[in-house]
Amino acid sequence: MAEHAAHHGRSVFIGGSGTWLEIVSRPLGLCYKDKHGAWVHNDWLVVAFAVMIGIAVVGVVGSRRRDLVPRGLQNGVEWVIEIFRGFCRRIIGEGGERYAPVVGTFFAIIFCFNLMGLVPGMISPTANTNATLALALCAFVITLYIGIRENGILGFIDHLAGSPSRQPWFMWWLPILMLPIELISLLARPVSLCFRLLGNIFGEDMVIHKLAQMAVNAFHAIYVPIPFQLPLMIFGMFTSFVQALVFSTLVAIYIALSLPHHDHEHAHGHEHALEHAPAHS
Amino acid sequence: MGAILEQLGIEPNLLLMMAVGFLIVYFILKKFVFGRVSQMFEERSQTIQQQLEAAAQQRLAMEKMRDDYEQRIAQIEEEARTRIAEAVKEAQAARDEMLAQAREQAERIVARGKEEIEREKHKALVEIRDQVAELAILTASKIIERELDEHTHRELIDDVIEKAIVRRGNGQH
Repeated sequence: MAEHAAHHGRSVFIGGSGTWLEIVSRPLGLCYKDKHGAWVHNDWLVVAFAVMIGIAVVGVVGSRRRDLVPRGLQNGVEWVIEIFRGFCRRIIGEGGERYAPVVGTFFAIIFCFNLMGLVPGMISPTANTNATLALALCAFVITLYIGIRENGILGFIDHLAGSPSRQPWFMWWLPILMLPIELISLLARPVSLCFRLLGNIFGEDMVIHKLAQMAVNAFHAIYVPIPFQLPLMIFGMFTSFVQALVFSTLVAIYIALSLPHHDHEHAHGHEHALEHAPAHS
Repeated sequence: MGAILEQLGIEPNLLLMMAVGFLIVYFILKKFVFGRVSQMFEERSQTIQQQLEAAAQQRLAMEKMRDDYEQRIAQIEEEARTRIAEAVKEAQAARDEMLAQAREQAERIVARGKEEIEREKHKALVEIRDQVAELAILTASKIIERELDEHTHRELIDDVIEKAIVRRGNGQH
């Protein structure tokens, strides 16, 4: 696909082949010919909306019952929500469970998006730049909004400039140094969030795709079905989870860093550990 | 910039749709799932807290009731022990009295028996003496063949018997 794309001068991230959801995406105008005359399949958007609607339905249905002793779906939804609340409390600190909806929504959506690439005939929405960039921009805007809401606009700028209002007078030069660094760091967040997720999931899906093609070619040659892609699909479940966890943890850390009077050392430690996590996975 | 976006496959329309879709789902989940469940957690926590407090109070009441019952049971046992002791004492007194009466009665019966024996013995002796006297008279009359008057005869016999009894008594002792 990459050679094909390079030949046409197209992005490697644009889906070259459709999924069985094309019957939905084509009437919606999501499948069209680009200026090079090649078909563009944006089935990922249909998958993304199907997954998001599914998550919303499961969540709403699961939280409708209010039994004192939860069972079935209610128990599952409450269990997941309690995990997110505890997760946010541990990373953000006391009262961090207020931000569980943001972190939980990011995790649930990204995890399900990632898993979709492992379903035969489907595609990971997170293997498309538009999806990951949209998620990263949403994360950026939400964390920025929380930072401004909690600190005020002047407080937020003061926060970015290394809190000169709380420094002794001879540290006047600190904002000059800190503000550009913090601004670059702030603006780099959505870019890093976007491309980390995209690279991991796109790469994983491409490898699975290629191994599946290899299995088909091998079957034609020796008439024995050998699922070469299977080990990587199993590993893909793990990486799907890890990438969703990394994204949502970073969102939680960005929220923690934008809150006033927080133990920044602690949150920075998490951030640095996670910045290196994708390289390992 | 446009070329970079094109190379990355970024299309503003799709980007916007995805972002709006995400934000809609986020608001739905926040309002109808996380908000509702968090509120339910609070309510459940309060309910459980209240129930635990109520249970603790009930436990205290039960413990107090149990202490009262134990105290009452102890009192009842004490009363029962006292009554049993009194009953035992009364029974012992009654037994002693009955034993004393029985002993007295037995002694009385024994004394009466002894008197009876003495009386019978005396009677038997008198009879023996009479028979011996008659026998002696008969024997003597035949030996000496002489008639003695009744009164002399009797005196003689009595004298012999007395001597015989005295001799016998000396022989026994």
